[in-house]
Amino acid sequence: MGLIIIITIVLCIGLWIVFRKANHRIVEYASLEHKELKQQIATQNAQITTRQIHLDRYHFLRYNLQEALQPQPEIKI
Amino acid sequence: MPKFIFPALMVLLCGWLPLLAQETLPNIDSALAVLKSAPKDTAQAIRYQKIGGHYNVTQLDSAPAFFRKGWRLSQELKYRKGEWINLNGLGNYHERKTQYDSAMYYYNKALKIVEETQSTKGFAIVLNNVATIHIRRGAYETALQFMFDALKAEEALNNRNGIAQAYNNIGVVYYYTQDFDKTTFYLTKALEIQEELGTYDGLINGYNNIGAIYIYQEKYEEAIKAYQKGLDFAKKIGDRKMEATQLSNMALAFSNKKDFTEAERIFNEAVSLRKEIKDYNGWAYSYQAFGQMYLEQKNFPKAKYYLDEALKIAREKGIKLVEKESLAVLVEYAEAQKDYQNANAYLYEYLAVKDSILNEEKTKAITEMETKYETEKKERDLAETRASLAEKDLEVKQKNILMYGGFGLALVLGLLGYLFYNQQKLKNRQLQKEGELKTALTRIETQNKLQEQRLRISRDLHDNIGSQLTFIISSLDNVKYGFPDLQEKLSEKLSGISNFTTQTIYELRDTIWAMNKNDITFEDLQARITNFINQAKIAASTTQFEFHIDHSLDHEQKFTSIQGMNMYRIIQEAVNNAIKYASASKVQVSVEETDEYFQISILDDGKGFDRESVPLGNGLNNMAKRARDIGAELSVASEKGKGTTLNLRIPKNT
Repeated sequence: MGLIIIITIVLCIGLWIVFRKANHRIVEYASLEHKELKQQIATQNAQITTRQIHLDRYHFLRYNLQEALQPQPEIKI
Repeated sequence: MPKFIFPALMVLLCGWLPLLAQETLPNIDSALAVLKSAPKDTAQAIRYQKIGGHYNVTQLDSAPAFFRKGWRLSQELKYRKGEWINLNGLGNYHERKTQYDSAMYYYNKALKIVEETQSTKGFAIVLNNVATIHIRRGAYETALQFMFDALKAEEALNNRNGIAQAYNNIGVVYYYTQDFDKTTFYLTKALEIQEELGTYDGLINGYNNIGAIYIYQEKYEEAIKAYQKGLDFAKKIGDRKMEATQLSNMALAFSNKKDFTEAERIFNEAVSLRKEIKDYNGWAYSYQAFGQMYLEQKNFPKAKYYLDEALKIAREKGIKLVEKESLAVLVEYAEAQKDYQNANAYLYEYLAVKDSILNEEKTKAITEMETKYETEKKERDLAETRASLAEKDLEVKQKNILMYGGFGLALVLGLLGYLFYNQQKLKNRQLQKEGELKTALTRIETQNKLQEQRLRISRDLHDNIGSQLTFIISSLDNVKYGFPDLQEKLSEKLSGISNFTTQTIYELRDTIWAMNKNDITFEDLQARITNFINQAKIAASTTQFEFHIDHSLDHEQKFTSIQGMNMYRIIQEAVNNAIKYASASKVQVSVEETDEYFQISILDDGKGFDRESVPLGNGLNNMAKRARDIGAELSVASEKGKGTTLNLRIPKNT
């Protein structure tokens, strides 16, 4: 009887530990993925913002459009 | 004399057996209960041995199972002492079953362990038991070797009690070999140590036995000394019965020594003591023994007196054995007196008593057998009940195991399910978040690409089409100035084309401007309209232009680039129409804001037109289309000679 209880408790604790570790790994991996995606979004945002700032600064009547067009080598169209 | 040897042998064996026997437990049920509930430790191994020892005495067949369990448990625990004591118990069991080969097998195994563990105590105990087997087999020499080894072990431990027991056992072996000198020597040594240790129990009997052996050897002086010692100890511990016995035996020794005076004196002392303590049995026995002694001495009167007294007491007190023996001696007495009639009468009486004893013995034996049968039956019933209880207990245990096992399994499976579910939920959450991020990334990437694309198109428009249009203007100007003789009409035409192209460049720039903005603030729009009005002022110097903006209007108000561009184009078109077709002297542009919409009004004081008779031209149609495109409402009010009013209403929620 005692042995059954001990085995059950040990199994439960073991399972809990295994799943806890597995979940931790999942969260860790997903966090990395999310971080990567957020970085990419931030990069894109930064590009859009930079471009927009330059476009906003442009005065069509005085400057040539060429001056407002910032090169964006990372964007492949 | 052999009759003295018999009790000696009994007592010697009694002194010897404790080494072989196991102690019985006062409460075996509680011991079994403890055994059942106690943990499996070294104490449990000893418990198995003790319970096995108990059953070795009380219920032999139950014993080996406990010893085996104890042995196995000790092996599991690597508890060497537990191993040898249980093996020793198994040896005891087989010895009791007279299976001497098996007994020797287990004793040898136990001996091997005590040798390995250098347990001197164990060595002494097991050696003693091995010696016992050799005694049982009649191998006294070998037995003696083991006994002496055991003695050495006890001496090494300086265990005085053990040494005394070893001496006692050696004395017993010598007794079996009929070496009475050595028997008395070792038994005396054993008794001396016991005396030294103050363990008086058995000392009196011990000296009594030694006295008996000395009498057998006809060493009366030594016998008297031994009895005297026994007497001293009896007095010391106040055992008056044994005191009388020693005196009686001493008297017999004196009698054998032919010192009848001393014998009679001591005998009378013994008898008076027995009278005093009312030991009728001893009293009658003493009279009978003395009667026999005087008969052997042919002192017939004294013999007759003591025998009659013995018979009298025996009959009074119903001591059949003494009665029978006294009658037997009286038969001899009558025969010695040649009184055959009385001899015959004594003989008849003797036979009658003997038969009566036999009957009594038979009855007693039957009763004993019945009692034994009943006891065995009860024990069997008890064993059956125990077995049944054990079976039920086992069933309950199995049920409990199943129940607990099932519950445990269900718990584990439930937990497993919950953990899986939880994990899947976590995965889904992470995937959903990842999906959202990916969607956002895709959207922003698309936006970025779109913006880049727009820029590229804008650049192409500006760099290619813009420069080509500039080239056209430049070429037209060159033609105009290179050919001064051109007809006036042609020159005007070229000028018109040049102006149109210039206008196209402006529009192109406006388009690029609108295209590159996601949204246009009212401030931007205002700047462009102001700029346009200023240009218009230059182009039509005779016309007066006014541009009003409601001050309450939010300058940060945002329009989409399409809205902004179309609003600008409508204003541009309306102002152009006012200059070109209405020949207005005053053009007024105003912007107002209400709760629901923005309103841009373009008013002129030109010649106006009748909306019913004049069809709408391309310019007005274009304005209407642009207004529809941005969800705005365009209304045109004009009357001949009263100018034109154009209202553009842009709802706020579009």
